Amino acid sequence: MKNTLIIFLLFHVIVVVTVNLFSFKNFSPSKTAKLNYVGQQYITNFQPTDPVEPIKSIVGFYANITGTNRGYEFFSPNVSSGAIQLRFEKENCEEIQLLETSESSVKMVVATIYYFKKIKNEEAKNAITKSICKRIFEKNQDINTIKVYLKMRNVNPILSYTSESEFLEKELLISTVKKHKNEI
Amino acid sequence: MKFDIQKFWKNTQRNQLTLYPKAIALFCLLNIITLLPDVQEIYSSIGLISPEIVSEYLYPYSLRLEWILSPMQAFNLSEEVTTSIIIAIYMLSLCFVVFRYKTLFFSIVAWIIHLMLVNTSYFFSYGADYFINFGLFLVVLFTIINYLKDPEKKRLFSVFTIRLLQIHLCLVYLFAGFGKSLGTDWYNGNAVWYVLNNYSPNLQDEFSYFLLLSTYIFKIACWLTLFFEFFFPILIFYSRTRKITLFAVISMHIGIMMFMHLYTFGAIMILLDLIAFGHYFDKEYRILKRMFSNKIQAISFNNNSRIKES
Repeated sequence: MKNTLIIFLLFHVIVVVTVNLFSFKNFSPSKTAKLNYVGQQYITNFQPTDPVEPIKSIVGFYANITGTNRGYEFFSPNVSSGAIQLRFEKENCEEIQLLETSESSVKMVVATIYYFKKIKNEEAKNAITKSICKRIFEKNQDINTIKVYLKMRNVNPILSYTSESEFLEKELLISTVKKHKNEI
Repeated sequence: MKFDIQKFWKNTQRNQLTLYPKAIALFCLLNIITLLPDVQEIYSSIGLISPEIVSEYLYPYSLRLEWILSPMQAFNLSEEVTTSIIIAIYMLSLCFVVFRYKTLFFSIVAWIIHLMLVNTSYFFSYGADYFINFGLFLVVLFTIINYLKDPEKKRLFSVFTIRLLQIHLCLVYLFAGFGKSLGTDWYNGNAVWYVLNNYSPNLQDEFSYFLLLSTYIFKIACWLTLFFEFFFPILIFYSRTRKITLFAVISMHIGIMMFMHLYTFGAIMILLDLIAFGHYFDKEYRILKRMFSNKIQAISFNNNSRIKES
């Protein structure tokens, strides 16, 4: 039994290491300006190659069922200087609250980050916006038009911060969705 | 500092193996309760993000709620009702684990349902959800121990489960620290500065003068985070540094809860750290326990004396 447990432990370590090494591939080489020397060398010279299919599926399946399928590179290598938030508004400029609890709000922030940073395809983004708006229309029969705003907030780096510095805040209307047409 | 392979399989835990699965199950129960008002929006196929969109980002083998929701429509059960039933089964399973009724079966049920919930809410899932999933996987392993008859196998499996968690946490902090060490923000203080400003913007109004006094506060916070994360696998197993390291990472997670408002994430990490390494504070725990029991005895003695006098 001891040998079985050792093999299982080693397998778990291999899976976690593999998932994390591949998650560092998300550090874009084009953004090496904000990487230090070691970071630049790592990104350009130590990128792992994709494993062959059966191994990829086995590793992926085990990582998925054990909750180890997302790497731990959050806030790596740097932290974003800005925050983004999606805001949904009725025709009368009243904000629509999508979720009620504070934990759900955290999940909405996570979804917003995914929406902007991981999904590059505009069509995919529009599909998500339409899906959210469709649900709002179903729950609120009195709403005919939804305006989707992107609220952005940026802060200066610490060394250039002064007491007179203000946050750079901007709100952009990114889409207007009408009820029956569900068009953007 | 020598590494003794025999020590690796030595039982270092006080006998709390029945407490750990209960603690994790109770935590999961509290977590789902905090999401109850929004379960339809987050998990149901009629929720905010439709399953067709989510399935493009999932592997074919990823378990998802849709696999249960779609067949249930044949029984004239709506998605809302089916989602509610699944959540109810999840909560009941966790209750049965807490009360130790057929723990292995219900721990597996809870684990599978939670996995389905996490996969289904792909866009909404974040670190806390994945660590909760790992915690439920550990609950299954902890409950397997009860079904082993041979005492030596029981001991080996219990040590293995704790070591698995310990090694997993070491890898988590190591890779978190390594990733941060490749950038620039975690050296010049910008990382903690941006986090505080983006997650607690009002903090700046209250402490602006204090914060402006010295940027070294942010640099120190960043360097300490880097140091304790990157060197965690070494520091946590070395006898002279283990307590301060555990104290440091728990403080970091308390900071995450207070300033980033990621309460679930901070709490699950503290829970897993305490399960894995809490036995380092056995001596302090026994002292505290003795202090409290002495105080309770003193209070009850005083009460009894007053009753006798009257």
